[in-house]
Amino acid sequence: MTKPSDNQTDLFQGNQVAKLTNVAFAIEAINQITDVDDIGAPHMAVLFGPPGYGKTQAAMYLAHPQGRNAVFVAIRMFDTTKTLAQLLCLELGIATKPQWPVATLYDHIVRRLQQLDRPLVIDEVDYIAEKSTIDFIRTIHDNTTIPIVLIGEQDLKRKLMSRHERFHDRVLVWKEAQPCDAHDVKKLAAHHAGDLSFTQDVIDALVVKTSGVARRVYNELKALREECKRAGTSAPTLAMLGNLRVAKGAR
Amino acid sequence: MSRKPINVELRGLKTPRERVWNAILVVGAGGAQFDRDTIQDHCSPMVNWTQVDDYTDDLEKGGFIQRVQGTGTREVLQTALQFTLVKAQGIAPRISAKGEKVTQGSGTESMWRAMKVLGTFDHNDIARAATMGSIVVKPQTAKSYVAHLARAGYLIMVRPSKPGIPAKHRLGKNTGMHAPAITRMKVVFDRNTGQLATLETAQEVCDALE
Repeated sequence: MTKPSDNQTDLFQGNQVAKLTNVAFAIEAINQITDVDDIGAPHMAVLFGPPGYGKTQAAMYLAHPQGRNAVFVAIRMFDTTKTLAQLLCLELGIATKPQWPVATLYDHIVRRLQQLDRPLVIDEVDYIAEKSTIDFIRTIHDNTTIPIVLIGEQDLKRKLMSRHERFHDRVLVWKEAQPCDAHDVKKLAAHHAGDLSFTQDVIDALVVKTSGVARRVYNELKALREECKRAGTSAPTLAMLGNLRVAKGAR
Repeated sequence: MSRKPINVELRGLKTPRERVWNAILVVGAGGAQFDRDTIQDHCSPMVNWTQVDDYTDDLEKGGFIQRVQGTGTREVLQTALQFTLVKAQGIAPRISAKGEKVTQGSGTESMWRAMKVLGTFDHNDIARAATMGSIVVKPQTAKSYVAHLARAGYLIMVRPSKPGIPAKHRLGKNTGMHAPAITRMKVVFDRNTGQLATLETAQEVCDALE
């Protein structure tokens, strides 16, 4: 069994998670905030960008046991400090009682996080970015040395910066998710429609048509694959791409 | 009421090896020496002496604990061996008799993680997301796992299946860090809550005999 860092290069090849620029961003970010030995040093990263850009894919890599084996928590719209603490306890396997105050929950969370030594990934942070609940995460950050990655929509940076200047010094890496370029689309195509052979002009047309949103590229590819099956070829053409009817919202 | 510093009380059931490991964390804290009897005394609930013995052997091979003195047969037979904790970690190391990592169940674990990360998913999404590194999850495996969890009430169906298009689900009941397992009897067993879900009725078992 190799360490995660050893098989990272292997992950970029073969039939695995398509390694897009944004996943590479997440890897880069978490590398920068890992191995912070000083308890006062910042070890938090923020990954933000519009929906469909592959942030969830990045989170999946971090949360996978063979990726970074992170503890993954998705914030819900109604979360308060206490429900967030309870959610963390559930995810960390801590036995709690409903009447425990946040302080007790917090003690246990910090202790357990330090004991487990796994990174913490928090998704959909924009729900709490402008509430005081965010300070709970900041306090956890201040009392542990584990890497913390916050993921959210494109407004996350602005929201975090406007209301909470204290956040600024804690976050070591800000990463904005980028739209797919031709290179990424090629990777996605190889991953999701490996049996088709794409020409460069189809790839370029895909980039333009989807404006680089990974989820849309995926939908197009899926439809394109169906279309090719119907036409009995393995080489999609520009005309095919123009006529596609892609199901809205499908993933 | 104060608690011991290292012990965060954990939810769910613990395997014998996890109980042994937790006992080692307690008795070996601060570089203290311990022998296997002390470990067994600290296991709760009780663990077989053979299991304590086997696991300490494996841990020693894996380099998690270390013998203080005595490597010869005489010491092994006549005196209680003393160990110290070398590598402390929060989760009990799963290692084989050769000291290698055990990967059994890692596919299920990565599928459970994938369900938490992906909002809505069908079994193909799960298979794709759970496959990484040396873990390979086939769509068929994911399909059966998703079907079992859906039947046991863990998943909420977002869109029913159509011919050629698999059903889409989302996780409705996140019970904790351990992935619910499918036992040999094809029953969903959840370590987090310690519950078995959806036992087949006698009639269903009988129907499957035909």
